[in-house]
Amino acid sequence: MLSFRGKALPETSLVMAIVNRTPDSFYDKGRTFGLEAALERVDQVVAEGAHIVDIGGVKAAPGAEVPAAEETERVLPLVEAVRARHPALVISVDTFRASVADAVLAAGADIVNDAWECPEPETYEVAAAHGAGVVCTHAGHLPPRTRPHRVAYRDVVADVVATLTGMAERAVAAGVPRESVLIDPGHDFGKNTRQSLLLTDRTTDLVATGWPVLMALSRKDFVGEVLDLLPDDRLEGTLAATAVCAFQGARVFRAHDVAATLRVLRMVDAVRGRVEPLVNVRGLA
Amino acid sequence: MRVAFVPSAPLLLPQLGGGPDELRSAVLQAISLLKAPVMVLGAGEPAGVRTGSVDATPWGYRASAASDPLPLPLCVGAALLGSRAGTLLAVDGSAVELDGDVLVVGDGTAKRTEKAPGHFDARAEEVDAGIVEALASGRAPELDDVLAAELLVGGAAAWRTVGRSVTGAFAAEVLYAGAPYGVGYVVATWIGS
Repeated sequence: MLSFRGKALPETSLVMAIVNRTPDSFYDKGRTFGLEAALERVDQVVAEGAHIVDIGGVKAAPGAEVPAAEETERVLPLVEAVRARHPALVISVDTFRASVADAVLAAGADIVNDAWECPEPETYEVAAAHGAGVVCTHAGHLPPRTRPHRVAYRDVVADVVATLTGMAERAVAAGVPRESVLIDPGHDFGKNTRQSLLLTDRTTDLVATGWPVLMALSRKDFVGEVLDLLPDDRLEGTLAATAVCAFQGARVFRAHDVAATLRVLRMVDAVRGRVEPLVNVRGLA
Repeated sequence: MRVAFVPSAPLLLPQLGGGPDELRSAVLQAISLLKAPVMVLGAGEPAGVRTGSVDATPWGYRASAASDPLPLPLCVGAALLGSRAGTLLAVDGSAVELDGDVLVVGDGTAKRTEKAPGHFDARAEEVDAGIVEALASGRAPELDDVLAAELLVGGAAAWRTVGRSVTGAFAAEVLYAGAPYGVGYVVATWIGS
């Protein structure tokens, strides 16, 4: 069972809603940079049924340097406000910095979602000290906020499995509760499109590790390259990949489009027999 | 002697959702009046006492299938009664010997609306109204075999058996009558004097 600081999540496929306090993220492009706009976004995704919100203050791609103090100024007031408004909501913060993690966890965040293969190893000790969870993400062994350039693997799936199981065990050894650790293969991070597709196709290899798998697929470039579409037109591709991963047993989906993702996941879960249909009439009356 | 009448829709099985609230609460109220062990009557071939399991897997519920599933009406009756179920009797319209309180599982036509399982048939509403009226006045519905078959009436045989097997007068009450999914459902109770 997944549980973060005493907040247990249902046994279904789950949605982690993206909330960016950034002026420059690739899809929302600053729409929720302001505190009020970000709070409205949180209220909206909670109303739509998101299980987790993932608050970020630094865009993933290369760009303007955001010092730790500025990152904290962006995410901390939002975490405080969200915790006050939604006491039972699982709050994740997207950061690769231990100092930022420490500040937001002290303010009531539940998960450190580090997307860059934990460049500051003390992050796990910080999470453990707060009883919080972590996301262990494979980023192709690249430094934060860099793009892959001709990254090659002898076996990308094996590399991801070995890296992530090692990180997850290290998190637990640092004191992070076992039921609060997620692994994320890091689509696009240190990977070309074919490598991300291979990881999608072989989700079962990640699921077989026994660690719950988080998939961050939403409107990413691997979807865009497959379909030759810009981020605004990547919803269907994202949802198709979401269904493929959920069918194979991935548990959490980091998403911009919460309502649509939840419908897809409910459908997949019903196909797999994980949830019951909401209506039982056809042929049963 | 007390007799309760409930539909035999698979959706009444808890594993298949349990049915709409209004119907379900009427069903539960009706069976709560019965004293255990309750004899269950439902259509089934061949007629006779059945032993077997409540099993929703024939309707798509995911579980291990039982080796001895009960026919639908007896399955629904046994599932609703749980440990209060007594003899489970498949009936074909012939008279049977009744013992104690009885739960009769069967429903009306399946042709009430365009979206009904059997599509719309203009005759269905009147037939269902007749069924409700009969049960409301303590009489077992008597249906023409051909018409009942054409309108997919599920309860005809069980009601005929009741008509041929019970004696005496009853205080009858209809707790629910409707066709929310195009199938005529009626929940009724008869309390003997």
